[in-house]
Amino acid sequence: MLFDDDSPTPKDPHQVLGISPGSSVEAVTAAYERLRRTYATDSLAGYSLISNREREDQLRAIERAYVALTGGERKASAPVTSAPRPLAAPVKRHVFLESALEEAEARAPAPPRQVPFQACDGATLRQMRLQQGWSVADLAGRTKIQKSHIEALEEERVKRLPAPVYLKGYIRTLLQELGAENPSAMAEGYAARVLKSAPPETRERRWSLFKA
Amino acid sequence: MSSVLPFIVRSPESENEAVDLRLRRTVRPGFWSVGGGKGGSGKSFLTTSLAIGLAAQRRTVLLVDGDLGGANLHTCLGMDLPEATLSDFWDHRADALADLAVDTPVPGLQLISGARDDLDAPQLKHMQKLRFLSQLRAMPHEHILLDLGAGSGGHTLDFFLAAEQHVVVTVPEPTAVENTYRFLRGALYRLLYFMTGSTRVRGIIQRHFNSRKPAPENPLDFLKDVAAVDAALAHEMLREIGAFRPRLVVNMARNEAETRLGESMEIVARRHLGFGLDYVGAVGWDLGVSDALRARTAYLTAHPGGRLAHDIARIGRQLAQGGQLSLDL
Repeated sequence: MLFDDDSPTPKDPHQVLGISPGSSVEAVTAAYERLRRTYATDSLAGYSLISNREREDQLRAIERAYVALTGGERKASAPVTSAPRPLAAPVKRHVFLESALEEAEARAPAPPRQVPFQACDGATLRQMRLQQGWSVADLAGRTKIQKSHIEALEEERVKRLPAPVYLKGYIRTLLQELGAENPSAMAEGYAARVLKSAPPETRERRWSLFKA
Repeated sequence: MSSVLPFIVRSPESENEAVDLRLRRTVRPGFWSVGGGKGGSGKSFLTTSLAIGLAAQRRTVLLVDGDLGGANLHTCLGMDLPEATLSDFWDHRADALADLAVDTPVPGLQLISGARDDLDAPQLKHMQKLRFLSQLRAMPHEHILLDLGAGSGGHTLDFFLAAEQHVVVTVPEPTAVENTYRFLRGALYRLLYFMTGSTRVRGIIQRHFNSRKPAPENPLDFLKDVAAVDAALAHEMLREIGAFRPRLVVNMARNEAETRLGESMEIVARRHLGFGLDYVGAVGWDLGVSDALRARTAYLTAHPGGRLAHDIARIGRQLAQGGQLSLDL
């Protein structure tokens, strides 16, 4: 009960994910995904109650709990992806954990994933935005993504694009706001399109910016 | 968070305030209140639609317009403003609430219309609210649906708490989400505040309510301070908080991500405000709602099999189950 719990932050991963010990992997994953959606940068649910800092702390704790509860099983089936994730890395502005995960996966040679894929380009993004009757500024206000980023994404200006670690997250956020059916698959499609066209040295330089 | 609780204003009647407005000694199944802080989130639309849905199941339903400043349920039903309204009750021109209930175009559904606009919103005394709520609970209808106005004012919170089931409506917008939390937090703290006459305990609750941000790890930490004064009371409060389980509806959801907002708000309420919130479903976005209003018919009357009708039926079922009423909406 309330008065028995004096620890300021619950350390038990089950407690962090709000599930009972012995929950199935499916239950763990479902709880993890619900929480991640709740504390995502574009989530409305914490509006006025949760600061950005708390949000990031929560995301880190959730991520740690998830790895603690499922890490073993991943190791059994796919040793490569269970490489330690850079959770302790300082979180920069606008970084959400999803990006950190993608970064970790990009560093470790991950086995080919079955990622749903749907073609998407800058023109599509713009058209969807115009269909909503929104200006770039409107969309920036709704998603908290910088105007310059949105413009670069719509115009596919490779050099001015956000760093690859953020790219898919941004696209997904934009597509969600624009009411796309399948934002994740379209984000994959967009990323595959523009990253292929970026010269390798640009990619490398941009990566290194965020490695420090 | 708002920094001032409406009930902190000292008034000569404050000694009476400890009388529990919820009249919990008798159970009144089927009495639902619908509130939610923000104007324009669709409270009246949802309440009217639920009422029509219940009436279509041959239930007797009483719809009550508890919006003290902007009553318009009659318009949602495509009716003219009835002769007698709650204004007459507040002004003592009508003594019996039952005399105010009028038939609507929907069979089985009666309406008590809201207050006409006065130059001054009615200043309700505690005893008036008590008289209103006890008469309301005694009405013969199987269902009483009390629609509340926007804002987190004291009367609105009292009426919200008086029902057996509390429904809040939000829309997927930051302002609405913020007001929903403010409304629910205000309701819960008002409930706790009036559980005691002790100025010391009231001071603790008030101080905690006024703190700009609730403690993220344990939002109910202040109960420890209450326990230091009165341990039994603190446990009773904990029980009340546990029993406080408002139901959440997300209205005007345009896509699947927006329907998921309710799930996330459940989590935030439990973790950051310390009480359970039950998400009972989303209602989609449909231009037909405002078209129906303009045509002066109720949406469900115009579109009985429409897209939103399913959403509303699902929510009605959930609410009825929560209240242990078997219902086949």
